[in-house]
Amino acid sequence: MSEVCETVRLSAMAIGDGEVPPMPEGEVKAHLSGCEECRREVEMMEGSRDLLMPVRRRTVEADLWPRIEGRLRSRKGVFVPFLLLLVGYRILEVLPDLDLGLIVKVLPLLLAVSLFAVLKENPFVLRGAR
Amino acid sequence: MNDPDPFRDLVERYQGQATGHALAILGNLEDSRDAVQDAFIQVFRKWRSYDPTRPFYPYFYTVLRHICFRRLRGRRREREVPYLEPAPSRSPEETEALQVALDHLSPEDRELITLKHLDGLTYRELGEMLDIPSGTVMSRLWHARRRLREIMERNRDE
Repeated sequence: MSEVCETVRLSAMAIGDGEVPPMPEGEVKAHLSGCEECRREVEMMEGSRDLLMPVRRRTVEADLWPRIEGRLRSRKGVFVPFLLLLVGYRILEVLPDLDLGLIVKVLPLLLAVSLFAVLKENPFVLRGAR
Repeated sequence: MNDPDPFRDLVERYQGQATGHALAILGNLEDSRDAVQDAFIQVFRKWRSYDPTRPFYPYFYTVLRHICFRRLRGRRREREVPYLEPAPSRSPEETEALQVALDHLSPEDRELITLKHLDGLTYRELGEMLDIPSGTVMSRLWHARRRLREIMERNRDE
C-alpha cells in the first residue's frame, strides 16, 4: 500500500467520523474514483462503523465510596507504629546511665526516611496549593 | 488533602462510567469494580500529581487503564457480563454477535473501539485518554475497525 493510499483511507475515515482529514475531501474523492483497492477498503471500514452506530454501553451501577473511604481512612493507622517508636526513643533518651551510642543519633533520621517512604511523599518537591 | 470526604464527589460522579470502561477491558464486573477502586485510591494518594486546570476524567482514565492492563497481563480473560446494550434498531442476536466479535479483538483494539463508538469521543479526546497522538489514534482505529469487520464476517460464515 502506498503512502498516498494510506493517507486517503485515513482521510476517508476521518471525514466519515466528522473529523478534520489529513487530505482535503476533494482529493480523497478523486483518488477513490480511480483506486479500486482503496474504495474497497473504505467501504469495509464504513461497514464496520455502521455496525457500531446504534449500539450503547451498558449502564453499570456502582457504589464504591464506602469501600474507598474505608481504605483511605485505614491508612491513618500506619502512623501508630511510628508514633510508638518515637515515644519509645524519647524514653530511652531520658533514661540515665543508658548509652546507646550512634543509634541515638541515627534512629530519628531513619524514622523520618521510613515515614516518607511509606507515604510515598517527596519532601523536597514544592508544589503550589491545590 | 488529608480528609477523603472532598474526594467523594469525584467518586460518585465517575464511578459508573469508570466501571463501564474497565468492564470493556476486563470483562468481569467484580474485577472492574476492584480496578476502579484501586485507581481512585492511587489518584487520591498522589493528588499532588494532578493538574486541576486539566479535566479530571482523562487523567483518571490513564491510571485506570494501566491498572486494568496490568491485571490482564499474561492472562486471557473470558467475558462474564456484556457491556453492550441492545439498541432499538438492533435485535438482541445482532448485538450479541457484535459483542462476541468485540471479545475477539485485542484488549487495546476493544478499548479503542468502545471509547470511540460507545462514548463518542473525538480523535483528540481519544489521544488524551490513551496518551497517544491523534495520528496514531486514526491509524489504530482504522486497523481495529478492519479487524472487527473481518471477525464478524468470519463468524457469520461459520
